[in-house]
Amino acid sequence: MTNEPINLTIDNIKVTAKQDTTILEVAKQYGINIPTLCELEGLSSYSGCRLCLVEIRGSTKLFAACTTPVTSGMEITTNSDKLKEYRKITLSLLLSERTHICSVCVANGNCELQDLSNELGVDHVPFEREWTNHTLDSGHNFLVIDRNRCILCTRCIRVCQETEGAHTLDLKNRGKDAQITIDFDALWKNSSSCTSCRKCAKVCPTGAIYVDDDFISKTKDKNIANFLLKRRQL
Amino acid sequence: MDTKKNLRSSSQSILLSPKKKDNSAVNLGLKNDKRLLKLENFMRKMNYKGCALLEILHKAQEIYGYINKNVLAYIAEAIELPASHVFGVATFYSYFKQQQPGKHVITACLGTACYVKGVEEIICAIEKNFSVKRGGSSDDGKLSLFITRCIGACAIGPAIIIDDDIIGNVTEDLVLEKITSILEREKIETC
Repeated sequence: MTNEPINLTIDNIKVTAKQDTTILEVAKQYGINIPTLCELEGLSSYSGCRLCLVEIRGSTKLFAACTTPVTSGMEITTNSDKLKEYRKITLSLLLSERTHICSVCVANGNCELQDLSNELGVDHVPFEREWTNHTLDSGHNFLVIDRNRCILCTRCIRVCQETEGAHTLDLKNRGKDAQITIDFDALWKNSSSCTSCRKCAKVCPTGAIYVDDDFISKTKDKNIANFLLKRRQL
Repeated sequence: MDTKKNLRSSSQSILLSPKKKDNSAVNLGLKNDKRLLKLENFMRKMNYKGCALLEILHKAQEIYGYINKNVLAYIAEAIELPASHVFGVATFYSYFKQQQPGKHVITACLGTACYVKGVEEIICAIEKNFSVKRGGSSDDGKLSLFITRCIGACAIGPAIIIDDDIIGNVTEDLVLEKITSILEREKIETC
């Protein structure tokens, strides 16, 4: 394989990319925004959320930008009206699949699903909602998993497997019954492999896994928040 | 070749050391019977490789007729794969059963032709009358109700399989009568 740079166009902008890079990576480098939910830098690509779909000239199919490698002469469109419409439908389907109620969610205001819905203008869900009643597990000392808020992006699974190496979390069942499972469908407090590293809560784009504990370090200085804020503004 | 052999024997000696084997099997509540030995032999044949997970699960399903969590835990430990991964694979495929099927198995065909002919109502009637849920077993373990997609007998739809007998053109009354008679016969035999 040669190391020659590849020339292609994204949204009519001529760009140059290295071999073996994906469309999403190149777009990021050039400041072109492609919405994503399951993609996270440092983890493997899953192409499960289908929000990063792009059009490539010469093909009627849509391609997931996070897993499609660039080739020479590609002409990519990332933001056509058709794609916008598709993304809205995808988001609506994600929202209708589980019980997503922002006003009673811990991640309200800090949720990637909510942000994207606002950004893409999904103001109502045209599909009948599932209103799932999956189990909530709050038995762990500080980690809580609410499967009703999960969008199955599998970020937590990938971070647990690839970064932490524990592989405590995985998907069970399939289709609309798919859920995050802990070991052999165990309660989190009984998990033998979990290292309580909190990485899963950190990467969760919604409020499905969260830390029910002090977020600020356990210092005894009551004014630490103000102090930190000042320091960070320097 | 030699190194391969050595590796194999060393991994075997670790995994098959009697102490460890007995412990894990007993701890998991598995009886050290012939079935476990069969499974162990198969896993040894597969060299305890993680990539042979599907084959091993197939074998376990074949040997036990179902795969419960204890068997899964035993497999996960033997081939050194994360528990959640093994559980995920086993629950993904509908071929692998989680629970022991009942003594009598009813399989209803939910293919397009049978569906149009009204098999759904018959399934609901079975569920209601014998308190089983599709995909599950009754509490006494006598009856299981499974759903399958098209058994290829569309001409005689709606079709239902009761204990390996395919019954075509079934009606609600016919099925209920048949199942009741099977269960009653069993009762008499056990008395």
